[in-house]
Amino acid sequence: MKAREVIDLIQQNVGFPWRQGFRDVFKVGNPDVEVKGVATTVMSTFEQIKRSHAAGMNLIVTHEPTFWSDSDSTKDMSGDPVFLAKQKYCLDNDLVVWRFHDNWHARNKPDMEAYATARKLGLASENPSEYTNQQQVFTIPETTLSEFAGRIKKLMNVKTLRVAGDPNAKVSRVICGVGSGTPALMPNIDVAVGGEDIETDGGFDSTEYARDAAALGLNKGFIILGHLVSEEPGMDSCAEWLRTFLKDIPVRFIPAGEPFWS
Amino acid sequence: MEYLKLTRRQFAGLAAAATAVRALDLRGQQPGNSPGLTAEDLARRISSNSGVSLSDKTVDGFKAGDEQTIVRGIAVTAMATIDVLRQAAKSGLNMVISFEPTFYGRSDAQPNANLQQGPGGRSIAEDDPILVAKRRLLQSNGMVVYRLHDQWAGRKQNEHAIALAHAMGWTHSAKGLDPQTEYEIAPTRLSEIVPQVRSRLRSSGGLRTIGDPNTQVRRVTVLPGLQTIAQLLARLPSTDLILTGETRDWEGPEYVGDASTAGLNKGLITVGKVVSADPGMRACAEWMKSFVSDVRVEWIAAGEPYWRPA
Repeated sequence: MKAREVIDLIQQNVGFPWRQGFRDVFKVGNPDVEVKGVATTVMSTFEQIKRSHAAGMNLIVTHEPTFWSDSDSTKDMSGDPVFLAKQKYCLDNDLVVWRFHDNWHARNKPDMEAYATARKLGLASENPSEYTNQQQVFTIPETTLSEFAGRIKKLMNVKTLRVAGDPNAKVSRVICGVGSGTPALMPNIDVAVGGEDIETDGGFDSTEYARDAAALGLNKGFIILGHLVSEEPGMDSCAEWLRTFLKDIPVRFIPAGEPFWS
Repeated sequence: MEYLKLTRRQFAGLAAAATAVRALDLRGQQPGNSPGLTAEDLARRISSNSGVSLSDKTVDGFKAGDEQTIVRGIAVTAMATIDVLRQAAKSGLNMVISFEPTFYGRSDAQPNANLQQGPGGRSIAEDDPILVAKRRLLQSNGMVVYRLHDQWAGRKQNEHAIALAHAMGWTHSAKGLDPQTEYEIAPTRLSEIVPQVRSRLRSSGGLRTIGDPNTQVRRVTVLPGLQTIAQLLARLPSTDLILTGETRDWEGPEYVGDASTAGLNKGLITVGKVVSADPGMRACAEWMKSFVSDVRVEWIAAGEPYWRPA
C-alpha cells in the first residue's frame, strides 16, 4: 500500500467529512512510496525520524510540524544546513512524513489528544463518553500542589515541567489541556495543567496569577508540562486507532520523551 | 455600615499623606525634596528622556492609582507582583514602574479597547479575588503603577540584552550582525554554562536547555524576552548558544534539537520572560536616576515564578 493510500484510509475512517487545511498534508518524501510500517510521533524531529527509520517504519505520522513552524514553510530555507540535512536523510531513506493535526483533534468525541492525557493523569475516567473537552473541571481528593505536581511528573515522565503557585496550596479542582490549548486559571479552579503558555503579556497570564495567589495565601497552581510532552499520550492513542483499520501494516507509536534536559 | 464616599483624588491624597506620615515616623526625615513631583510629572519626564514616540496601540501608561499622587520614591521592576509591591511599600516607594503587565495580561484589566488583547486566555472579572486583593494593596498604600515597556525597549541601545549579558559575566562583544546581543566567551561546554545561568540569573524552575550538553560554546547570543522562530533562525547560524526569555515550544527548541542531530551543534537556553528582563530593569533604574534626583529610585527584582516538584 502506498503512503497516499494509507492517508485515504485515514480520511475514510475519521467519521466526518475531511477538513483539508494547510496542516494535514505531506511534508517531505514521496507519497507513492510503498509503506513498510507507520510510525506515530508527537513531532517529526530529526531524532524521531531516525528512530522511526531504525524501527523499520517509513511513513511517519506527526502531530506537530516538521520544519519548525505551523505552516511548515520551507521557502526561505534553501540554504539552511539543518533543513537540507533533514530533507536529505528522508529522501535518501525513502521516508515520507505526513501531518495529522486538525482532523485528529476534530475526530469524534472525545478529542483523543486531550482525553488521552487527561486520562493518563488520572483525571478523566477510562470511559471516553464521560469526557467533554479541555474546559472540563475534575475534582480530585484534596492534596497539596507539590504532591499533585510530583505525581504528574512521574506519570508523564517529565523532569522539565514548570509549576507556579504555592507548593503547599490545597488543591482539588483541576482543569487540563494539552499543547497550546492550556486553559486559564479561573476563580472556580485550583490548578490548571497545560502544554505551553505565554508567560506574560498575553490574554491571561496564569503564571503571574498563580504567583500572586501564593503571595496572598490563596490556593492556585499552574503546571506547564511542555507542548510536546503534553501531546504524547494522544499519539499513542493515534497508533491504537490506526491499527483498527490498517490490518496488514505494522503501526508503532515512537515515544520522544522531553526535548529539554535541564 | 456606612462608607465615606471619596473621590479617587481625595483617596489618593489621603493615602499619600498616610504614606508620608509613615515615612516621617520611620526615618524622621522630610519625605522628598520636591513635594510637587506627581506621578504624571514623572511619566512626562520619562517620555521626554526616552525619545521613543508611541503608537495608539502602546501598552505604556498608568495601570493603577491616581496620576496626581505625589511621588515619594520610585520602584523599578520587570513585573509589579504582589511581592514586589509589598517590598516597594515597605521601602516607602509609592510609584512603581513595571516592564510587564500588573493585572495578568496585556490588557492589564483596563476596560478601554485601545490595547491589543494578547493571544489566548480569558478576560478577568472585576470581582476576581486576586485582582481585588492586588488593587486593595495598591490603594491602601497609595501606590501608582506605570507600565514602561515601549518607551524603554524601543530605544536604540538594547539595554536588556546588554544587561543580561553583563549579568552572565559576558562582556566581550563580538563583531557580528548585532554586537549588543553577541558575545565571545572562553570555550565552555553547554553543560557547564547551565549552572552559571542558574546562579548568575537566579533562575531555577523556569530554566530549560536543549542541545547537545557537550556543545563547545565560544559565541553566545543574548535575546531576552519572547523570540519568534524567524528571529532564532536568523541568529543561530552565527552563534553557538542563544540565551533567551521564551520561545514557542515546538519551534525554536526543536530546530536546535534537529541541528544537534545533524551534527551542527547548537544550544538554546530559555530562562523565562521575567527572569530575562530583571537585569534590564536594573539598568532602567540606573537610567532613571540620571534624570531623577528629587526622589529615590530603586530596582526591585521580580524573580523566578516557576519551581519543579521533587
